[in-house]
Amino acid sequence: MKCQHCGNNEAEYQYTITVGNHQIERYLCSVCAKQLGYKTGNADLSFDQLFSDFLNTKVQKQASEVVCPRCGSTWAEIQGSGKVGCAECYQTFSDRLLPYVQKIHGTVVHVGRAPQAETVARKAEGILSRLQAQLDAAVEEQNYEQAAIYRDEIRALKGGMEQ
Amino acid sequence: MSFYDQIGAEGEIVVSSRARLARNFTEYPFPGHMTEREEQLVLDLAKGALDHYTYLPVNTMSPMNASALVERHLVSRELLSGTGPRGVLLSEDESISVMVGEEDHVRIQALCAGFAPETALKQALEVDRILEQAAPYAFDRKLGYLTKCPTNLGTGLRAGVMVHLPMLTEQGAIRDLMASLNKLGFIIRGLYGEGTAAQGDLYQISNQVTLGIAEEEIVSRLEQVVGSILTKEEELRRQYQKMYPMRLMDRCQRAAGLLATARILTQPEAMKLCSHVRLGLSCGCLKGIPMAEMNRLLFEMQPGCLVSQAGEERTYLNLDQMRADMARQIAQKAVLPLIES
Ligand SMILES: [Zn+2]
Ligand SMILES: [Zn+2]
Repeated sequence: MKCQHCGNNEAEYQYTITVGNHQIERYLCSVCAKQLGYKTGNADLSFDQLFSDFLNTKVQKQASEVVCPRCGSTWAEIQGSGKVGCAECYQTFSDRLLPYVQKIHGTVVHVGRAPQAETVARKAEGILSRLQAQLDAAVEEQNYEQAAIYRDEIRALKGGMEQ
Repeated sequence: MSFYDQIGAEGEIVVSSRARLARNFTEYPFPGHMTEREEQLVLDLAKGALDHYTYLPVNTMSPMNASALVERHLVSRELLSGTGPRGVLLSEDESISVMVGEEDHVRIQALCAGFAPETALKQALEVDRILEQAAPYAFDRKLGYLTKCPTNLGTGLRAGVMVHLPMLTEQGAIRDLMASLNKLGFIIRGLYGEGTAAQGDLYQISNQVTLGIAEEEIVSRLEQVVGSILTKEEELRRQYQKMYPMRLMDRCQRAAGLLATARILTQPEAMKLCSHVRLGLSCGCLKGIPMAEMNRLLFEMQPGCLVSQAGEERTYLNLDQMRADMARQIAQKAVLPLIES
């Protein structure tokens, strides 16, 4: 199966996302998954996974010292000050930071406002996945005429999003 | 004109409400990991976006003037201890202050008189919308707004109120309050001085959790929590007044008398007396002094404010004397209500 976002690469990850009040499945390649902010490696961020990440950190630390490519912070520095060096540190050290964030806030999932650009992008993605579902349904029903309309709409929307 | 010149909702107990948003621009590493040039770029970015604000460079002003900004709650103490170009952008009425180069690139703060955290949040968010037009923020779908300290992740919002709790303090209830607030994700701390030894019975209550809870929800929980604290404080005041009317009257009026006649006042003594006078005004044991003037006194009698008011040219200052002069002028307006016997 192809990635639902780029349509090029083979889909490697399956995500269940909620659009409005129903849940939909999305299939993405690793590039798009990362770009769209999904956690790759495991589709569902369960607590068990968090703890195993936590337990694994000791082993990883010995293996090689990870340095943030953006700001040059090491985990030892972050641990020492309790503060990161740049936004990218949250990705670089996500396996070690997330359990810490979980401890502080009781969750690792933001609820609330987002920058306007982000809100717009999200809305477009919502429309996109709805269209994709409609397209799939049309194909299922062999209603190719309708499917072509959805396909064009998706193309137009994607074109707009890239600009 | 400042927030403490006005009396807002529940103004007898709640002096002010505050909302603070921590934000960073995605283009630059966080403060402490930036080159001086990058620091200057971030500063220029904020100044450009808020060009109708007044910019005060903390790194080049006199330490006492900078200290006065802290005392008036316009900047944090941490901003002063940093290095490099940094300062604060102030709106005309000083209700909005945007710190640049503190722990995060920008810290947007809105201050309102009285119990109005919702208004404060709204005002801070307006400025937030302006700044995000200037350059994209560091934001992650999972973690929300990215901040230098993970304790601010998510909304980056710290919403708080400054409250005067003389009766809860006297009853020794603050420690208990601290423990139960902590379980709810809130924190109470003394405004001047640490922990339970709060000067002037003034406290700051604010949220600790910033991630996984929406801005409005943080504010509405704060309102609920503070609402029940207000109810308790009011209840204790009523009880005390009913049981010991003369003792309360004596305490408040005596304090007003001291403030109205003192020639030398140390900071702790003045704070203590002000607390009694505030209490007296709110329960009718004292009249004649507008509460707003008491609020003003609380802020402006702090050392940095006194020095910066006196002006730089004064070489010798007796702060305790200046403080007493300021207090006398206000406390002399006190009118003692007649007692029916
Ligand atoms: Zn893809
Ligand atoms: Zn980094």
